[in-house]
Amino acid sequence: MNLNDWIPLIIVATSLVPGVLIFFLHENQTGVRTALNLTGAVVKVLLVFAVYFGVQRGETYTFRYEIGVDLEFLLHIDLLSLLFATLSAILWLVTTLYAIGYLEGSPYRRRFFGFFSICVTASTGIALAGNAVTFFIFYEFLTLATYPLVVHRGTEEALQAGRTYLWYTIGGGTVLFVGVVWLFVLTGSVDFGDTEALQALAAENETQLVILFWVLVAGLGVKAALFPLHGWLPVAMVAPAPVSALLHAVAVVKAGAFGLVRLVQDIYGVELAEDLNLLTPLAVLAAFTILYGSLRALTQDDLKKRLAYSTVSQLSYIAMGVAIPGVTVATGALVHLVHQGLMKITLFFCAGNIAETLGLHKVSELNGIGRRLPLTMGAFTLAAFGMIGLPPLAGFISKWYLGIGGMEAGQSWIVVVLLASSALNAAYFLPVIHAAWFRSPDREWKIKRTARFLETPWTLLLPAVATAVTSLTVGVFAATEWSPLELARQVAESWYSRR
Amino acid sequence: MIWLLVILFPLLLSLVAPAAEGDARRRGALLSAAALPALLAGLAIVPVETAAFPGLFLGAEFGLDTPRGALLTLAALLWGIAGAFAGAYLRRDAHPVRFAFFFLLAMSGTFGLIVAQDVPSFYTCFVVMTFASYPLVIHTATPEARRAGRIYLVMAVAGELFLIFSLYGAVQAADSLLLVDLAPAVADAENGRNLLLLGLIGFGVKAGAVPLYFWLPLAHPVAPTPASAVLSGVMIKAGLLGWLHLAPLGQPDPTGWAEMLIVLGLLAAFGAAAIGFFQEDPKTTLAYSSISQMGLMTVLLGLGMKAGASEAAVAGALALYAFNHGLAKGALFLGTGVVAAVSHGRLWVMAGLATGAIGIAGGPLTGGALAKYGLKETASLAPSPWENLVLGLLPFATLATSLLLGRFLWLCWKKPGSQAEDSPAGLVLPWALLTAAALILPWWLNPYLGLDVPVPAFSFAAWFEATWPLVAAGAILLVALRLSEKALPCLPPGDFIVPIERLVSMCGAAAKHAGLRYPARGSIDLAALSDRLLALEDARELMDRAEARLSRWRVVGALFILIALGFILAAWAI
Repeated sequence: MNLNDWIPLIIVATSLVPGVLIFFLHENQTGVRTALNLTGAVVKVLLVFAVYFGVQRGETYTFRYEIGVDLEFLLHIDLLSLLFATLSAILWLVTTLYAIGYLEGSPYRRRFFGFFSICVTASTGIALAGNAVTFFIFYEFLTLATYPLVVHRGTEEALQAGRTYLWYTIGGGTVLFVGVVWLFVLTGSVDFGDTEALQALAAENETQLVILFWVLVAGLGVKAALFPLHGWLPVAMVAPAPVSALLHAVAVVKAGAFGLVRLVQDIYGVELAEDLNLLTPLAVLAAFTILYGSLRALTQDDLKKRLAYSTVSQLSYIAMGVAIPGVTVATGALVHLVHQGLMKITLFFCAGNIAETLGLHKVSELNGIGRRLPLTMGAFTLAAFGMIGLPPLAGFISKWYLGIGGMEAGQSWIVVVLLASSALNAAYFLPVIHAAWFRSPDREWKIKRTARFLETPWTLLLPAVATAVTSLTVGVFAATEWSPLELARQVAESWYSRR
Repeated sequence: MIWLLVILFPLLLSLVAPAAEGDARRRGALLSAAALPALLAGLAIVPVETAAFPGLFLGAEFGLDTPRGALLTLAALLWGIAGAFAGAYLRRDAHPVRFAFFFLLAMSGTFGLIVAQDVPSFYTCFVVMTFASYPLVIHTATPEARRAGRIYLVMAVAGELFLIFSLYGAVQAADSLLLVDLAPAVADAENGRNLLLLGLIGFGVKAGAVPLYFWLPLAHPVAPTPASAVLSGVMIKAGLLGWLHLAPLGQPDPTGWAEMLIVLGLLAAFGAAAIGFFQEDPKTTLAYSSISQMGLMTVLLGLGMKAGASEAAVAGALALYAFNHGLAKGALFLGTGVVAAVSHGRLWVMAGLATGAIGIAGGPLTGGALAKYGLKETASLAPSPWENLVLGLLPFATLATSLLLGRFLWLCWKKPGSQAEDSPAGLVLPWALLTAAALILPWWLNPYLGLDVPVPAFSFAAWFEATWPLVAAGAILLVALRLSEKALPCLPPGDFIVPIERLVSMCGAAAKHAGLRYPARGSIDLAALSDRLLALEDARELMDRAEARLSRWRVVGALFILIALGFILAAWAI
């Protein structure tokens, strides 16, 4: 093994090591803890970038370790891993900063940051996992490490939400376990991307493969919040804002969506999945989730819950995109993995800022807050416009590829679903924006946080503004070589060229 | 570089707009300066080769052709002059900086969509223009403004959705991002008919086409006057430009929508004039006049989609018509602000307004007359019976326009003038400049920009043809308004939106009565509309109950164990 092959492990360790060390620190050692966190996060971002260039140059990074007979622990970096790993590395850095500001002065920060880092480890592991077994290990790891964060506040409501969360995810994990074992029994240890093993079985075991597919979808669908398995997500919104932002907008839910991508493309392969008639039902399910989530979001007055239902809806863009064969639509689905993360994390940061600064949680309370929190609401406005799919923001690019891809595949119904979802997005975001900017304040604000020059402490403001600006930048400069779009296009093209 | 400057200069100035707080003159200068690069580019004073920016959006390309050069010139002139006017007009406004910011944003979007050569940039700029106009519409924050804003926003979002659907399809069919490739692809594509219809609807909202126009007589007049001028003068033309990009011109119409456009256009030309005549606010009559004039442009487009005139000729004639209408309509809108502000010399102002009105109606020697030549030229080349129909109706359309604008002048004259001795030079000068520009520039630009609308030789017959509708309209008005001013019925602005709104609120009331409630949640009606469907108690409760049950952990756990067992059994059985 040369150095390259250790790199996947090192990338995973950059968040695991700080996470574990933090547990050994004293609660009051804020400086050391912050330094550990930030160092880990920065190193991880740098490593991921370095690997990105390496992969572009054609280098490979594969870490193999035999756990048992034929049972391999495999970390492998391909373009798709990079897409997810880059996203989670960068957003981890930003969210760490945010969390430091958000939790300033509150108790149990050691526990929080410890588990927070471990969650990130798990999501990185999911990104880099090279086969189904490794994927499953990190997937379950993520479930368990997120629980302490959901119940962090320790209130009755939080504990209740934690219970719901556990039942859903452990249940999903169990089903996934059945699926992964089944898959292993069928094919043995097979790397992602090697779809021939299953294809060879297709002729004789058609029914079995169909059932297996749906078992795996059910297992992954919990985290991907596919209807009707989405119920935990809105409930889990009692968690502190950084948790909602990173985990429930990006890491956890993306783990599910990412898993679905791996399942369709790298385990079954589009051709086989299409032959077995698996894709259309999946697309329909996703389409239904898109509309259902949006409709539910419309009736939520709690800002975070509205955002949560919006996540339910937006995540299924990814599922719908991978369930339609075609390079363009796949590009749209993959780039949405990144774009949705950027926009949604911005929205959650902003929701956190509103709650932390003015003590407001409800949509109906937001009248006129644009005057008090102009930068926060500016970021919110950008991200919400992006969610609607308006150019030149990130969401427009995703929808552009999904829409054109849908037309290309001759499935214009998915365009109708996309546009209906856009209309619903507009219906639940535009009123918030209108109220914030164009209505007069109608209540006393309980000012909780202040800052000398800014509307709120910079640690809270900077992450929101940075991610908002990024979601603008990746849209405006989508055609450049370094955009997520380009990477997504490379991944999608690699899938369809390997046939 | 010039292209980036055209688009970015207003954007950059929008960021420094707060610096001009409290100084109306500086603000006016700022707003008009923002249009300068666009004017230079539109008049081709600076080199205007097409330039590609491969990293921007999805690979952007900017450039101009002849008709779009004319549109850019129009946009730059009107935005610039309206900007100067806005400085003085909003001198006592509560939020002048906010107005300036969105005015500049919308300006940038408008310029951008004219110079864009590729679909993503075009659509981006179109969206920026649409959404930046919303704060302009609701700027005065009156209940009417809010209502107009609400309807504007709903229609705008709906329009965007139709539009993007059509663009997805057209881009996919063309396999190209360039706008020039869309029309041929739409003409050839199997689903081209549907794609074009979607596009016609999407852009039709902006263009105020029948039957999508009803937001327009609400939104255009309610905005501050300089914003009304650009909304009605330029932004409405963005829809027209969009149509031009999608519609296959100068060949036998493969889609069958040409007839529809001609008929709807004629309907708009006469119907909007008729409804507008019975309005009480001069700005609303102007908005209806815009719908009516856009109707004639729609007819022109429909004729262009029939075999006959060449594509270039149709586009040139449309551009010239749009150019003339844009400047003259802008001048009339600004004039409503002037006539309300001056305390003496009202007669002079009225004379200026009358000139602008004659310019729109196509009186002899005005730019409007030239624009009409282009329309006639295209019509005369169209296949029968459309040729005869349009040519035969045209003088009556002029009569209708003249009556409508005569009514407008009458309403302006009736409005009490200002008592304040505030020097309105900041209002008068831009308005006078625009009125003069509207009269002269079409004649100058026709050869300068190479629009090539033919100018027939002088003849008394032609002179008479151009004059009689105006004279007749004058006579009718004098008699009618003298006799029955008081008895004149008046129609609500937005005409048929009013019964629709009533219907919606009646449904709401009925639903309430039937025990179906909907939550009030600090939302504008866009949400409330869907709430009314969603908030039907039963549906909500059903969903809530199902969700609550699903999120109860025992149920979930039991379900999962059952599912897992089922699958294990299934696996075993296989």
